[in-house]
Amino acid sequence: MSTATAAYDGIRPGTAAKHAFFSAVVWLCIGASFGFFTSLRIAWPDLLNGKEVMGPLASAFAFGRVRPMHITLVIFGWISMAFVAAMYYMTPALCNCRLWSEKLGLWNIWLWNVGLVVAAISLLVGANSGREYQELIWPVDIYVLVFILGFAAVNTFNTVLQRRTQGMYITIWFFLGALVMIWMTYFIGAIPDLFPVTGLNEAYMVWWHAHNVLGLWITPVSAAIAYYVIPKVTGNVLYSHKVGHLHFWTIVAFYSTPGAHHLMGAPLPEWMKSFASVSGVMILIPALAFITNMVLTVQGKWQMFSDNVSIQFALTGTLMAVPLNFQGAFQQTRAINWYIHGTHWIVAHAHFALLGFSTFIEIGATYYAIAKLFQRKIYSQSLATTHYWLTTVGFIGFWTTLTLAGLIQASGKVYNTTFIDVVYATHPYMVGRSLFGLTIVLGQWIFLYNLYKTATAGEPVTEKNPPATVYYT
Amino acid sequence: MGGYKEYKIGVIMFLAVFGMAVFMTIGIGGVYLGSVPATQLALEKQVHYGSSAWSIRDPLMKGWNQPKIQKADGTMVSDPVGVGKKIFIREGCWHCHTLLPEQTSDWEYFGAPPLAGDFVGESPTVIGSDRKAPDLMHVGSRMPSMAWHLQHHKDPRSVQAKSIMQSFDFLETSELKALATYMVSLK
Ligand code: HEC
Ligand code: HEM
Repeated sequence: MSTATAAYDGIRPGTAAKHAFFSAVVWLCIGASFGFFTSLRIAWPDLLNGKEVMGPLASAFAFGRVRPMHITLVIFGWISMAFVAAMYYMTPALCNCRLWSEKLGLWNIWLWNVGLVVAAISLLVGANSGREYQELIWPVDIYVLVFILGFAAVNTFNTVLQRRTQGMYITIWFFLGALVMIWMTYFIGAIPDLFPVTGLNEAYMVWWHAHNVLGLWITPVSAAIAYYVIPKVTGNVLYSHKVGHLHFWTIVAFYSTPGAHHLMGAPLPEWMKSFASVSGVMILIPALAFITNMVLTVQGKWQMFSDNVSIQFALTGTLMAVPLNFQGAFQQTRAINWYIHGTHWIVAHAHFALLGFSTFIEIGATYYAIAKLFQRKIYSQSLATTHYWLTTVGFIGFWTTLTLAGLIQASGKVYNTTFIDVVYATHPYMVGRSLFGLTIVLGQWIFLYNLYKTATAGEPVTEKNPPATVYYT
Repeated sequence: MGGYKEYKIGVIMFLAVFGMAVFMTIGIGGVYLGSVPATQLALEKQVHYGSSAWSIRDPLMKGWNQPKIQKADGTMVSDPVGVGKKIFIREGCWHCHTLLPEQTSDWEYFGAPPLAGDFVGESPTVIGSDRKAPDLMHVGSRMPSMAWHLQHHKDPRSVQAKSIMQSFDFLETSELKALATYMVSLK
């Protein structure tokens, strides 16, 4: 992707990916900051709240409105957009061709940014579908299906179609499979918005959607990105394609079925709960296949864990998947689920998956791709290391305080404690969560600054085809 | 080169496995759940709530398109129970409260868990997944006083000093009344 490449539909190759990566990181900063803002509500409910302090903004910035906005911005603004950024960067690289259309790519990203602004405003004015993880109202759902997911899929599929390589690398299968699956998943989640489906049937579809956004989109695409970044940056060959096959097929087969394990407390029939619970444990197979494959790929290059920021982030994310998946597999069994369901334990687990596992891998990829796309070295290694430690320490503290708070709430259920005493007992942990959350948020703004400086003032790399590691020294 | 021909078997297998998973879960599960008969409670809820989902006819979720009832003076107004439920959704109360007692010791504290048929026709159900606050499915039996709810929503800490519920003093008086009516209706 050297600057000498001839212009293609008037736009230089890589432009769409650049716009996508930068937009995604901006959404990460905004989304995480709003997460911090809502966390204050749970720690100190009267802070910056109420008619007297907030005036006409009081309703828009109430907990129940900002919380879904936080989720929308981090999942659809940051994670999903970073995914598509990675697709726009990695697909041409792996197919030895250009992106099918840079123009469509730019339209995709900018319509996406507009869509997110609309989505955020709609949630703040209270236009909320009332379906968790699917809070957007149906006009926005249709917009997402066409301009966001649709455009991204068309561009990626057509790029692969014009590839100049024999065969497809594992990252590409995951990209293509996940694009089909997220479109279907999002559509099924929107069915209750578009058609008269009600009652438990609706609740079930909504949770099927929530489960599969994680299982058929966030998990596989995060892994696909690691499959690219880790071999590329370490310079090692992927340990095993066969294990990669196992990973891909077991994701499609086992991650798509346990949607009902989110409704263990609801009056669903027994067979649905048992089926979900058993197939949920099977998710350990793809998870372990992926982790094994990655860890064995790094063989002989473990020192890069301490001196290369992309590997640092991507491997930390990969290793987080070990406890994450064991926690997930066991907490969804009947024996454990009744105890921790609905507590802060679950919120801790959600951040484990989306922040500890997924976000870490995408951050690793972003550092790598931005340096490559701009042909410049990372502006500041020490800022990058600061970012790493702020995010890691912040996350571990965040997870620990929430998990402890969850265990307190859970024991409150068993011992029939007066509810308000449990609320009161978790207060210090909520304060702790806000502080650790602030640490994470600071790290992300540093990340944005460092990327901006890399793009504008990083030391240019002029060699042709330098090894990946050049970009970090 | 290019094309997907060499991946024919892979593509067919992918569609088969994914299609099978959707069929087994959404297909069979959906047919089963869709055929659960409505209970008496479900029918009552349908009468009061109507559809609580977002609609173009009520873009700001004010309850404009909820079922109408006749007031004493003969004017028609939206059923306050349905309006209350809509505001409950709009304000995201369900991110702290659940509407689903579980099959654990909840029986003693929050009352009996619902039956599958209790939800028929309700959309969205907002059963919630996060319980930072008491379950509300039977709150009307525990807390039957309108005045208490009105005061509590406006300033939770005036009735429960340790509460972390935020104050909803920015809601209009009619909205606060509708919310309280909805709370009291949850027997
Ligand atoms: C930040 C989380 C939070 C939000 C959002 C929230 N609540 Fe609460 N709510 C609580 C907590 C904690 C309690 C228990 C302490 C108390 O009584 O205030 C509570 C208690 C209640 C109770 C009394 C239940 C009982 O059995 O004592 C009612 C009724 C109630 N809330 C209604 C609402 C309504 C209606 C909304 C939305 C407009 C709402 N809540 C939004 C946290 C929340
Ligand atoms: C990229 C990083 C992040 C991602 C992907 C993320 C994702 C999520 C998700 C999926 C939920 C819903 C959890 C559930 O329903 O169980 C959530 C809730 C929440 N997040 Fe984040 N989050 C991120 C960062 C943060 C940060 C930095 C904070 C700062 C404190 C934060 C604070 C919160 C709060 C307060 C909630 C609501 C929890 C509740 O209702 O109890 N998040 N987040």
